[in-house]
Amino acid sequence: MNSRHRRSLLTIGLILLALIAASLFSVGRGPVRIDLKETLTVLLSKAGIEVPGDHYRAPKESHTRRIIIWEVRMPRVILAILVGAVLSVGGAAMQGIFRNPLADPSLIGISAGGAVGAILMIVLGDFLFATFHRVEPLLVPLAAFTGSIATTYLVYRLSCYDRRSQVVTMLLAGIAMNAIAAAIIGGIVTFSRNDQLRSFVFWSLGTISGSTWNMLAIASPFLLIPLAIFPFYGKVLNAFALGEAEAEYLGFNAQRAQATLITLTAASVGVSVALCGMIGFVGLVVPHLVRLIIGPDNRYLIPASGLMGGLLVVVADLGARTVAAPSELPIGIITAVLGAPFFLILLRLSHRPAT
Amino acid sequence: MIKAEAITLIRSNKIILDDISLEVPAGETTVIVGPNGAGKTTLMDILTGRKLPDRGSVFWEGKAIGKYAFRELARWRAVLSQKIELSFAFTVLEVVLLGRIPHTRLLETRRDLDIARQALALVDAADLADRAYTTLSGGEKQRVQLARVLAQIWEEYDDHARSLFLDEPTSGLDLSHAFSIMETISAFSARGTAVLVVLHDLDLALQFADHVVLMDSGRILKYGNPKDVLRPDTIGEVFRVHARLVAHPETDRPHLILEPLTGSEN
Repeated sequence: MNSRHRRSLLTIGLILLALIAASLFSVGRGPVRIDLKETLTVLLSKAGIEVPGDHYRAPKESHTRRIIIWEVRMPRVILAILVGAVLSVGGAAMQGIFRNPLADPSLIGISAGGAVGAILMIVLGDFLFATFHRVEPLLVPLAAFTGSIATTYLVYRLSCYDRRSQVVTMLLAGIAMNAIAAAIIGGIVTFSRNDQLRSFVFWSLGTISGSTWNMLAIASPFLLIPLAIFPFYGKVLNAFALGEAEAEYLGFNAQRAQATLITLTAASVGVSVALCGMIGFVGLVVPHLVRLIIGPDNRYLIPASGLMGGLLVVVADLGARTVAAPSELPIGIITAVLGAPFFLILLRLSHRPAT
Repeated sequence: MIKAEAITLIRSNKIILDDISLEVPAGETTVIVGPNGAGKTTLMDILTGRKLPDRGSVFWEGKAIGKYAFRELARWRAVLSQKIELSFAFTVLEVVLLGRIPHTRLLETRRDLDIARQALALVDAADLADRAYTTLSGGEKQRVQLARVLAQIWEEYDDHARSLFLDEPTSGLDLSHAFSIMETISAFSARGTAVLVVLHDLDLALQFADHVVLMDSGRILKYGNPKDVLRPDTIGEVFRVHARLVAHPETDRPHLILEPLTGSEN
């Protein structure tokens, strides 16, 4: 194993450590401060390991703090990790398939389709369901997910010609679908009521609040299965760097690989958009950030982007809920404010050209 | 041996390839020449299995090309397309190592690295190994890509005859590199590889081809040894230029001199 591989693995290890540290730290922050020792004690006890000597609080207070750690903050941190990972890995995959450093999952209509689905449900929900206010938290994500998948599928089908999906056509179809979606959203927003508008704006800016274990249980197959499969496509994506035809000459079924990667991205990012709205910037920038550190080899880029994306969103979410406490900032604002300057500095310092 | 039988390809009601049959023998260099739009690249796409013909079939060692798996083909068939640009800053060595993908599991071995470096040396690009591919000139990129496809079929795999397809490998090269690259390709074919090259430079074709295929408007006009196919009168007709064949004053090898047709002759 040569030094390049060693360096990449070392970097991945360091990002993983940073991710674990940031997650533990984040669990302890908030209106109720909890130190690392107590956090670890609660987490370990959930894993069946009881740490002795933690009886300095009254049982009732201790119980409340356990609930804060385990039922409120843990699901939130885990969702942040998964959403960050999914957005970043999806971004790396899209940039690889489209051979375009400006690509991200929103390019093929995942976010735009999700937004159309969400606003349609927010506005039409009252007509469709008598008790809409009660099922709204469930139906809006469902509509967003449906919108994401349907739009991506449409973009993919539109790009097929001569028994092959043409990458450039897909890119252009994606841009067109984004324009159509923006028009539909604009049109609906114009005629929507104030409370509906507020609902939509809140949804579209993105938030990780309100995550529960139940919600995670439903969403996790869509997030975890793609995350487990993506790393196996590192070699194919490297071959794709030369072009779709070259990937085929190097022994890959390029069309199938492309369809698989798009499906995985649409499913995982679709769920992420449905649950957390549009968290911009992560999918585009995290892969670049990682490339600046370890280079463009997708065998390392994919796992490293996943961890780095998780790290970024965990830190951003910590900022979102603490900076302006007790009110919460939309996380999209934090990811941009936090990530962009850091990225610009790296871009200037790096000796390796970004593209 | 690669064999194409009665290949016809129609796109948008236009006949791109019209009933083409061709054999590409192992151990020799076959060169396709012809004016723009003659169907050279399309024929190459069909012979490599990239495109499917509407009629006719392609056989590799007697077996229909569709029966091979992508990965299987990639171990003994390499293709160099025209102009390959990368969007991300892979180093030159990383690009050449991409050619070893069909032979590697997860990580490349020391052997793969050796082959990549040797292939780079063969195209006079050893000193570019650590440069970012995106910063190279057009001609350097072309040589690096050639090194990549050579690395892909560097060794015989499982006793299977290898084949190499090159679409205008010399188009962006300076003269000395064009010659040395053609020599490298000839040497590669002499060691038992079936080589098919699309060339624009007729004089290079004359020097390096074992067989020449002359194409125009989707048909093969002539096939045979270079001297028989690349005759001044044929070239004049197909390419609409004024062609003369002269002997080199020292080596006595034939060379082509090409001039534009003057108005009065037309």
